[in-house]
Amino acid sequence: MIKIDNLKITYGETTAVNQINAVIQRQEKISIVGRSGSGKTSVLHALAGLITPSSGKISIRNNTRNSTQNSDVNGIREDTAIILQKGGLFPWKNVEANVMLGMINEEISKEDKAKNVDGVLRELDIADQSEKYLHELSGGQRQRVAIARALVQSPDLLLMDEPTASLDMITKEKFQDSLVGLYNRHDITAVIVTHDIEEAVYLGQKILVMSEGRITAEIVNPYYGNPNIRESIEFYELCLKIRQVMKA
Amino acid sequence: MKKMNPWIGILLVFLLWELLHCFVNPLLVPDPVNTVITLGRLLLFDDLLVHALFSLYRLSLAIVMAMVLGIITGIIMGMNHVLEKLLVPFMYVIFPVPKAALLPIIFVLFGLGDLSKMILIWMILYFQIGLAVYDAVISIDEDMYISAKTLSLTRVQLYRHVVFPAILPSILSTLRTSVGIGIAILFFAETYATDKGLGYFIMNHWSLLNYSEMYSGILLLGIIGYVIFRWVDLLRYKFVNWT
Repeated sequence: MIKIDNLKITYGETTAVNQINAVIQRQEKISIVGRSGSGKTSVLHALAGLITPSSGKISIRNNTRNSTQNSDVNGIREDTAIILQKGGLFPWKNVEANVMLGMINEEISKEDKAKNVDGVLRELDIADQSEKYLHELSGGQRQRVAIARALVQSPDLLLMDEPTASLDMITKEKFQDSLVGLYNRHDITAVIVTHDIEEAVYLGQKILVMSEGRITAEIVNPYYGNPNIRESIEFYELCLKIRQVMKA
Repeated sequence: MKKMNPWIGILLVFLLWELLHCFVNPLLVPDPVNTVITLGRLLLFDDLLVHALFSLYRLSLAIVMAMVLGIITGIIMGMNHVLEKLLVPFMYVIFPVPKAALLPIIFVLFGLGDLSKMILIWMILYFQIGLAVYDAVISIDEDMYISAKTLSLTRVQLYRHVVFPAILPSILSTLRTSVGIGIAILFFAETYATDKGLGYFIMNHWSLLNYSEMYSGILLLGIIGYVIFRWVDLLRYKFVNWT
């Protein structure tokens, strides 16, 4: 379980996140949706242990992180993987080497690492691209590589920062479908940050709406997991509801 | 990297040379074919090879030292904010100073031997390489560091997997430019206080009006530069195949 208590994040004079509270259950799929500058990426980075809270605390499993206690960062990161907005992949490494980096500090043999990488690349249907460099891949394939690098870490918690922001609509939908497939196959807790309401509804069991550093709504998605939900009226009604919350 | 046919360039150079030979005074611009034959004769039966080896020794050692120290300085300035504030202004002040004008001082401080010549080449290249590497380090996308952090890379792993590969294209580009500049300074440095080296060989035969020998020396200097140039290109092809 992840518990966020009165989390506040400030950058100099600017308050990015203003005393938010949330609970994320194990294996829950959460979408955080909000406009640019609403503080959603800061929350994600705090969950990943990339930034230190100004006040309040985050508890992941038995590790706690607050403004003074940084010693448990590694404990937080141990079973956590994050996919950054632009993928965070290294263009000077090919697909296989990029994914392999996800296990760089794991004490298993090279052969086992290679086997894991191959398995994940096969699962994501990019095994035939393993020798290629990033500039030889499409946007969708690059994001799959980023997911592969996250998955080889066998995370309990998968964090994603607008992973589809740079993709066209069709590629984006395909990518979202493969994410749902992954959610079903792996017992992971997932938090995705997006400004795309439809994406938030499609990928989230629970949707947290953020505005000006605060969580303004917490909506349970009764349609999550329905493969044809995107074609239904209910789906768009829920999107419209979230849109109204965001505009309020 | 775009592939190119070097023979087109070589052919054009020789064509231009032949035209100059035909339309300018043939005594001042000797025939290229005869010059190549003279070059072969001088390399095999005269002491041109010794001069070339002296030049290569001075050039390569100076470039290697400038690269090693320039890369270290550039990385230190780019990665350490305290040293950046201290060293970057110093480098910017020193960089535009015409170091060739310091040759007399270098002679006074380091003598007339090989060391002073190599220090002159090193001094000119070091600041250029250091600043180029510094620019490359500070241009690394912040996302790369965040990504490294999420992967819990150690300091050594960060340099090995992120910083060094990210700046490698800049390092190799700078090396290519440095070779050209290094040869130019080498020629200048070898015209003083030595009787070994291609600079000496060329200027000596110029003063003796042996134009065919003089052109052979120039041709050999050009060949050395071209070979090193192509070698750097090969390194780029092998290690920077991701651009």
